[in-house]
Amino acid sequence: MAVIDTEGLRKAYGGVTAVEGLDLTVEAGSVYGFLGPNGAGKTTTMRMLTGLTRPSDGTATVAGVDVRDRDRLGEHIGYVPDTPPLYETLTAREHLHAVADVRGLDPAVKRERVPELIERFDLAAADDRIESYSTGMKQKTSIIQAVAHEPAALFLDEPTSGLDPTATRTLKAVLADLRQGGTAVFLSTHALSVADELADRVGLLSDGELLAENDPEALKAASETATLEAAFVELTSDEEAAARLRGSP
Amino acid sequence: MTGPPALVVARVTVVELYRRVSGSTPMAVLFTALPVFFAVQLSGLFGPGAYDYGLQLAAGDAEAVGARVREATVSGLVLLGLMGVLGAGAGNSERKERYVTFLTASTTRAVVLGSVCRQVLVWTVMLWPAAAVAGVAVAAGAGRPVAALSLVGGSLWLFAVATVATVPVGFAARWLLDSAGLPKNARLGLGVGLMGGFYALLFSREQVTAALSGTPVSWAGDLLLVTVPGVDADPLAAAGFLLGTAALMAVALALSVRLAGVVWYGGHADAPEGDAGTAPVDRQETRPRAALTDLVGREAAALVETTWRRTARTPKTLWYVYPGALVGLVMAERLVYAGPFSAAMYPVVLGFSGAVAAGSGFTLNPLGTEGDALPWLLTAGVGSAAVVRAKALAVVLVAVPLVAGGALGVALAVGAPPAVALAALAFALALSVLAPLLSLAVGVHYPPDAEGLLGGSVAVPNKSASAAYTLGMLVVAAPGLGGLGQFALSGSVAPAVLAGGVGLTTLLAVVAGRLGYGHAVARLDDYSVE
Repeated sequence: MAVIDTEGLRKAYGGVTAVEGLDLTVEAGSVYGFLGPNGAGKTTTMRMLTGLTRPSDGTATVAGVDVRDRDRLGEHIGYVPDTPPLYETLTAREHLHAVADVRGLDPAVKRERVPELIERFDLAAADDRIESYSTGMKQKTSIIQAVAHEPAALFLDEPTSGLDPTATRTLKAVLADLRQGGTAVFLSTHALSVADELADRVGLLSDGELLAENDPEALKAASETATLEAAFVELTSDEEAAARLRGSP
Repeated sequence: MTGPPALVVARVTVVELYRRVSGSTPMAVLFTALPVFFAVQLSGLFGPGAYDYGLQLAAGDAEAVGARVREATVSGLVLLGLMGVLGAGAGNSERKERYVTFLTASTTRAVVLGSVCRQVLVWTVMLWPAAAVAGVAVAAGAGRPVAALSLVGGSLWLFAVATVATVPVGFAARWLLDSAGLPKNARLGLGVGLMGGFYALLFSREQVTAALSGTPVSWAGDLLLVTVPGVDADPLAAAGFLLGTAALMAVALALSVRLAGVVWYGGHADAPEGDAGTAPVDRQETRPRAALTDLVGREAAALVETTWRRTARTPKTLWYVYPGALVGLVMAERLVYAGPFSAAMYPVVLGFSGAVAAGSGFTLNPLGTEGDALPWLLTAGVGSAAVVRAKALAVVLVAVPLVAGGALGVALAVGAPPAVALAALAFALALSVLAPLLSLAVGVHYPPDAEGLLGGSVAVPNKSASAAYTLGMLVVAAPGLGGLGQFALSGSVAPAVLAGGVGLTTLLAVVAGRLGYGHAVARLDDYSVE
């Protein structure tokens, strides 16, 4: 079942087109690696899919809800933006409880899940103010606020940014659990080893257009490279290779 | 950019400031209008002013003119010094993060000197043109161009002295606060105290000037008058002031560099607040929270409580309440204490200015105040109406008991008749409920839907928003102010006038509040990060 579905999704700022004719499908219980060079339109796409930016054209639904209907969309999604969306003067625990309450999470579930995730991510300073946190600790808090309600679709924009190897491993485990539970994970990252390891399918965006889409192994084979990183470099710098790949299944 | 490091820092920061000012119409207007306004006021172009002192000088009354200029110079120097202390205390010249690039590429000394140069320039551009025009006006009136030399040059020197000499005070204050590990709320208290001191000195400047008349500070007058013919300025005293203050600035700069090193590299983190301990208490289950949840529901209660917590822990937000409070103080002083209205006007002033103040904080820029956290709020599926209601509730639940209750209490305390006390209560109640709704309606326009809002903090509130909001409150309050004001002025008022005035204010508040609420919700619904 497709949780994320876009057709001809487009976003233009004045005369500049950021995303052009994006057709995507992400199934429930899968991880979609959304890759691309800086300025390719990944963040704009994420913002459209999370209701933060209105598409200029095309359709997009998440869990069957039109992304233009932000109020209804919210209950189905979790979002980790590139900058942790946190109230710095609250403690992580206060912030996470507030987010859970606003999302309407059952109080009993909240009391169980929030401490569990805090412990899982080893966020020992959960009762200190967020303003005193390191980048990694803020990122952990940002991730917890996005996953605590076990959304149908989880959007992650550079989620490993600032995380230490242990926390990165925890994140991977949490994502695996969510996938197991049926969550569609939409993962944008420059840490290609993470995408290589987790993604069931990878989409490569360049200049706002989907250059290639396949599972990581097929992508590597088509570009005749051994790693996703090499495939990425090859495809984003070699037009012939990209054209060849567009023709591939 | 090449040159001595201090010069490079100064040049870069000045260019950055210039671009910020020239890129913003309100700031450009402020930077232009303020000097022009003061220059017109002081010069005598309209009404009495410096030009008239020049005429007086030409008529041979040099002694009186000299005395007036001396008095103005010393009181000006005192006020400049106080403003300098306030500015330095607020970190005008020493905000480390602004110069972190330079600090890692240059010396502390260069960064301090560069930032002080910038500060001197800002003050000079804002305020000195008025002093310079006044100096020229005196010379023109007297028909003695040479008089302008010391008046213009001397006033420029005073600006430089006041700015530079107060820089170490700011560093010392920071060092003391950091060393003592005071929380931010205590710092705010200190800031309020300083502000109180400023006003105390502002209103007693004549006494302060008189007390300083026999001290070397009064030599500043000789410096400004040294080329003005016939006023008996002492060139030695002028030279003494020049040398003394030059030495003072040198010491201040050296001290600033020393203190900057201690403050910037001392490793003092901002002290945590008292209630941010490490006890893993589930605060959501407290009794007040449970009562709030019963009252407004769990989602709204979470948003209201979060808003309160953030406000209590970000005392800076309360600074935006300050203009409203100042309006109240000025109204009380001008209308009642030194004016024709009776004490019955106090509850009316409290109702109006209290409501204006209450709505001036975090609701005046509801999108901007969310800062980095805005994405989660917008993607939480909570709904724009719920967000607007929660923001308004956070204000109303505090403002109604304080402002409306306060207005009723004061009305009873000053012996207002029951009908007037009830009218004051209704007036304050209507405005207290309207304030956050009007504030939200205006505030959703600031900042505009511009790229860069997400992931960045936004100044709260925008000055234009503040002005529009205050004007709106005034329009709604006007009929009620009229009815209640008539009683406070004459001791009696026709019941129809009282009821009509307050009734009309209430009606306007209901209509404006409804429209404001609807507008804020619609605007938030339409919000898109572009």
